[in-house]
Amino acid sequence: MKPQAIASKTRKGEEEIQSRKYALERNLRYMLILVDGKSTIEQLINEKGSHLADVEAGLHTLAVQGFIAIDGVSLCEGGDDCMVPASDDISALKAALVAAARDILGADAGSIVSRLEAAPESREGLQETVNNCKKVVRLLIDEQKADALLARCATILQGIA
Amino acid sequence: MAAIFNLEISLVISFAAILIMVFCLLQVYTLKAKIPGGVIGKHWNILVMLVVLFSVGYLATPFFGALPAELMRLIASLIFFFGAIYVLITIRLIYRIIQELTA
Repeated sequence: MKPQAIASKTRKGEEEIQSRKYALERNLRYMLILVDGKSTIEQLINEKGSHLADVEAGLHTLAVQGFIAIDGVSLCEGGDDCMVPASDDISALKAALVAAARDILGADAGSIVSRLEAAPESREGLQETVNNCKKVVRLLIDEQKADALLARCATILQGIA
Repeated sequence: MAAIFNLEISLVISFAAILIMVFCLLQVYTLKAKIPGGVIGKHWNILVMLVVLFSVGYLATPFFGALPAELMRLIASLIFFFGAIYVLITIRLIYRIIQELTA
């Protein structure tokens, strides 16, 4: 898992928090509670979960079992349960979009990250900014990366893993 | 007297053209650093090569008088040819940009 990736609870993760349906062991449940859709993997390991043992392995287990998604992408093949619910938290969405841009574009992400950070505080505004960013990436950076960025951002905005 | 005047005028124009081309060369290289790839990046590399070619050609213009007439005609036709390619690439680039922005 990349240190700057954002972890978010999936529907399965939300369900586990609310009903303990999947009877997660205590340590993993603590880690799941810490996942807020804003913190990076690095922050979860070194700050929020610093008092817990082996957070990185725990997060990986949660991701594989479909309780969390990394940068809006699930590592689980469990269907709808592993999808990230569409978030109404615009700043969390923005953070996930920025993380996706950094992941896909690497050193060339600078101007795209600035555009995403300056995007309007609405889902429609974010969608429009993502579309514009895709055009800029196609023109100035790389056509394939533009398609990958659009697909990843669509996943994040629609809450589909 | 008229011949000297014509020679000076052509030299002045040649030096002005060289200065403008050197400025263009600096501009294309400065912009190249901001265009890592993509649709524009691909076209830009060709444009940079053509601007380098034109710069070399323009730098040689003050010495054209010393060249045989046949060679001068060949160089002039090559400049026209690559000039046409430059225009073609520029138009295609603008077309692709408009396509991408209106898609």
